[in-house]
Amino acid sequence: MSTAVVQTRRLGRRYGARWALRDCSLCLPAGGVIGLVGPNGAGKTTLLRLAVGALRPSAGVITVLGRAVTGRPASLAAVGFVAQDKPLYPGFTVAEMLRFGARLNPRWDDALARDRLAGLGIPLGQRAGRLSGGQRAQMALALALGKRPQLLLLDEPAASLDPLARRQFFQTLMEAAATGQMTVLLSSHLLDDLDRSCDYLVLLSASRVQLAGPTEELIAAHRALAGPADRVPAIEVQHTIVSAEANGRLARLLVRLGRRPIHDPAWTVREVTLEELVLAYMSHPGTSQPTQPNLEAVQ
Amino acid sequence: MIWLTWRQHRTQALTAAGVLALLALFLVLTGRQMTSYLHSTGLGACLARHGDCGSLSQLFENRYGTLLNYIAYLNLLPLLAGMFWGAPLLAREYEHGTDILAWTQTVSRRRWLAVKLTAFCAAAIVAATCFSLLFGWWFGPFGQLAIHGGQSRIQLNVFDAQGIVPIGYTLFAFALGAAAGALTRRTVPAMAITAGGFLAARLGVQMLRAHLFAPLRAVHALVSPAGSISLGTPLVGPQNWVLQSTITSRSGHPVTDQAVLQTCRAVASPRGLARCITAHGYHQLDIYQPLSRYWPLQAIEFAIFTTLAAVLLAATVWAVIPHRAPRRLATVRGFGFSRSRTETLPALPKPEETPPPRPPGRAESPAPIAALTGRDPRRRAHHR
Amino acid sequence: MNFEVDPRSGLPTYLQLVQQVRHALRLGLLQPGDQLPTAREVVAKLAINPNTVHKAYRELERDGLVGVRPGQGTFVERSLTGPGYASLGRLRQKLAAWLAEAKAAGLDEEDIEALFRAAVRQAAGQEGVA
Repeated sequence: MSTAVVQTRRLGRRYGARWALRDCSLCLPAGGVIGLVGPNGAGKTTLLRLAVGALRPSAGVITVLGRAVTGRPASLAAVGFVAQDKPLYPGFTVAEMLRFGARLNPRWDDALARDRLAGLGIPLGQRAGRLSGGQRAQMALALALGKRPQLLLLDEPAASLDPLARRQFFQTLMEAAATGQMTVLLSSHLLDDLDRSCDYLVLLSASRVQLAGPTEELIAAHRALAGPADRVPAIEVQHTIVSAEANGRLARLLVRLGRRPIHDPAWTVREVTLEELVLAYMSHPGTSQPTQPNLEAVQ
Repeated sequence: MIWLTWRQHRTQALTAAGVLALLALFLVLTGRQMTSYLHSTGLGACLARHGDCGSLSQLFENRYGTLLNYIAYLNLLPLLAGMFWGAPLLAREYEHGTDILAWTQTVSRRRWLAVKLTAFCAAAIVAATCFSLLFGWWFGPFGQLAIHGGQSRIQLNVFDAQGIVPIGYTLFAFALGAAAGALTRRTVPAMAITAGGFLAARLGVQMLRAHLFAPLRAVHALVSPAGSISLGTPLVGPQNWVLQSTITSRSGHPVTDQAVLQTCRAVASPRGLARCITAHGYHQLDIYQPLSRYWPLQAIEFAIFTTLAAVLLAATVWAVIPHRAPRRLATVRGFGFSRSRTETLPALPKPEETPPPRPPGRAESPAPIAALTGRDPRRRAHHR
Repeated sequence: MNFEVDPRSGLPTYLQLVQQVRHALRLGLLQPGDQLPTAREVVAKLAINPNTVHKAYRELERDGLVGVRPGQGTFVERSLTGPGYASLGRLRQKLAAWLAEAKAAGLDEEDIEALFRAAVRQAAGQEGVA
């Protein structure tokens, strides 16, 4: 496994009496695309802002790219951030936004940013406030990519985009991720996008981490079962039931597998889809994955 | 960063320059008119040889005196710096979401804020200085005529528009706007707070100004050696700042001039009136601040407002630079400690290969199971 | 080589890519020496995770169908011949026997189809996770 790009240990952030994020321990691998999913208000934006240094933790520790998050140029240089509303200075032209990027980032690749915008057909003389939603998103992405970050954070990038703009945005994003030098961490509540683009998933629900792991492993560790309701206790002994519903004698379960596979032929077993998995966990906030083993040792 | 500050705020800068230019135009035009009038009527020459220029200065007053009525409005100029430079500075960034845009480039938030605040403070100082010098030059003729009953620079509103206090006011207004914007994060409320706070502070300190030094008291006889009587006008020189001017009786109580005339109404002739007044012991009591205290008062008021500005700028910095969300007081260890703890902890160990999912502990979801089995699974643990 | 991804197929994305390459090889649309599109080109069109493409190409490389030339790209190494007729015949016979058994057990056509589909999916899924 490659080195960790973001590590947190019991990270928390409080606003007054309310914890926006609590007891968050993660070890996110470098080199891929990490999806952060959860309902609104679950703490996704808080986690991203803690990672970029826009917020300080109320509890716990976070390190990014092996360094503490300080908000100083040394740690800001390697991290790119695209906020949810894709902010730009409305009175600036596109060319002036690029100049902004060049002036405020010593490690700025102007040719790369310009090529990108030219390829998307965004005119340099256009006022940033007059760009369409899709163009704004691409502009914000180009700004973040222009500083050649090692970690790119995106907060709900597809939220306000129409389907075509969303597709184009992800095409651009995945192409940038394909160069291999960068890890992408994006938050979303649109499961289709995450399914296509992410190879690691973190599920935040009610300000806590419910699930974290490579999507393949997560899917492999769970099964969807359909079978007789009176056999449920037997399943329950060996495996963890994440969600269950019964309709008369038929029960449908989503389980996290225990040590042994399911032999009972009364159960129809199939693999879960990512959507089913996420929905099952999100509707049962009490369930969560056991703490990741490599962090337990450190405690 | 300097380019960004200029580019982001160039409209504000140019508007301010425009306003000042218009004001300067007005002041220069009228100022030159007044200066040439001084020369053409011979008033300047008269003042130079310290002659009795009463009638000439009266002419000047009649012609240009009304301009002084508008000086009070100049007090609002520093407020503009607060409302249109200070309040939007941070509030607009928060409103547009560009705060996070600026703070995720490779410039620390400290530096970003330092450059912006410094640039605006420098601009405020330059603008206020230019204005003060300009107004000082414009007011010159009036000041020269002060002894003859004009306005003097220590008097209200004139004091506020020259010397070093305009610099203090402008810095204070800007700092108040910036702090209001940083704390409320919205432009319009910040502007309202700035306006209210500025007016309250200015009025408050202006009232305080009269008492920063104990005022002098001058007692004058109401009847001059030549026999003329003046009731109700201050007898101390008009170049001073008269705070209070009353007729007082022998015992020290203030009386109105009507009361004096009432008491001495029986007397018919002016000489008799004079004798009556002297017999009753009425005299003029003027409470005033002398012109000589002009610079000390300026210095103190400048110090008050620049100190307030410094405190407000510190509040702005505190509001913007992120810090740990405050815990309950009992467990706070001090600002410096919290921050350095994050930075000096040993690096977390590198992860090894994640082993396959281990047997899970019991999940906390009795609800779905109970729905199926009809009983709480936890109870089974205690089953006989 | 034009890839496409069907999110509803139940098959992992990388396996769909592998299948499409094998299919193209079978049909002769891809010949030895042809270059497969780079991961970058694929994701720029499909907006999928680049690691998915890498995984698919690694699988094909393991099967010996493609090879990576450093600095140049991924190229087809050999073609896929169709299954020999002998093995086809043998499989057909086995299938017929199994079908008879299933009918005897009381399954109708729909049951058989459901069972068959589930088994295929499970086999494919197990292959992927391993």
